[in-house]
Amino acid sequence: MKFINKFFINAGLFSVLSLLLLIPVLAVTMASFNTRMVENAEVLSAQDESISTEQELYNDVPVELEEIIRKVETEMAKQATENQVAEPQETTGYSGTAESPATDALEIGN
Amino acid sequence: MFSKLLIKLIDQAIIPAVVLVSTRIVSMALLAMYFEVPFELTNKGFIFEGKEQYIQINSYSMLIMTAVLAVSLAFFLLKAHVFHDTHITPKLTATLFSLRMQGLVQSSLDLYTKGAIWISYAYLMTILTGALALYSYIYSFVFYTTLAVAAVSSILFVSDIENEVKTSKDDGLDHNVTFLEVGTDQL
Repeated sequence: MKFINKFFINAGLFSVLSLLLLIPVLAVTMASFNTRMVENAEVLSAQDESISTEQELYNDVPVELEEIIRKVETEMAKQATENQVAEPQETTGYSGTAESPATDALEIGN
Repeated sequence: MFSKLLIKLIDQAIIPAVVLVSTRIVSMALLAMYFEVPFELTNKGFIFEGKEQYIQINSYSMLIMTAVLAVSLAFFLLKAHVFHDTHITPKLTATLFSLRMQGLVQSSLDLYTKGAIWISYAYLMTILTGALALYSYIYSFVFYTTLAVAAVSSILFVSDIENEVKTSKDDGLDHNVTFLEVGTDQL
């Protein structure tokens, strides 16, 4: 019994010693690399490039004029979208109004 | 009940482990800052964005670890060869005591447990750098440097053990001559 106790205690001490020896080895393996950061950096740089190319359109234009152009462009874009939405309604309205002149004519005739 | 030698070895292994781990962490951070390499510090440790940068930082960090290991081994070997209590010169002993530096004089048990730990770290570092160099994760000269440090320190450690064995055998007495024989010559 005494021998077994001694054996287990010394085995435990030996495992502690082994762990202590392996700590620097684990510290060496705690550095690595991945390509995820590179991909993120590439996406960000691509976004930057697209923004810069958009801004290059107004490189030769003065700042005040650039603002006006931007406003005009946004207004034009708004109008275009409104027109796109409004067009289908007009076609239905036109079919409704197409009948009314005929009734008017009848009324006149009456 | 407890093995005295194992407890002594555990006691002697704590400081070298802490020194080597802190050297690794500090050197990685400082080298990344010096080379202006971006990195992330996560649960898995330092993560670099490219293999080239990882190899560069890893190699120099391992080289710094080897340098720390070499300095520690050199200090241990100096104590083993010059200040070992079994073969220190009387003049040096007197000088050390007059300078109140008698702590440098160490026994064989202290020296050899320290030596066993540092030499073990040197061998582990050699194996590790060899494996990393094999897979091209570090420059190969780092492996050769670590191998040279381990080999030289092993040779010097063994030579000190040889000195120790020689000293214990050479106790100033001629073992072939017995007391009775001396007595017969005189008669």
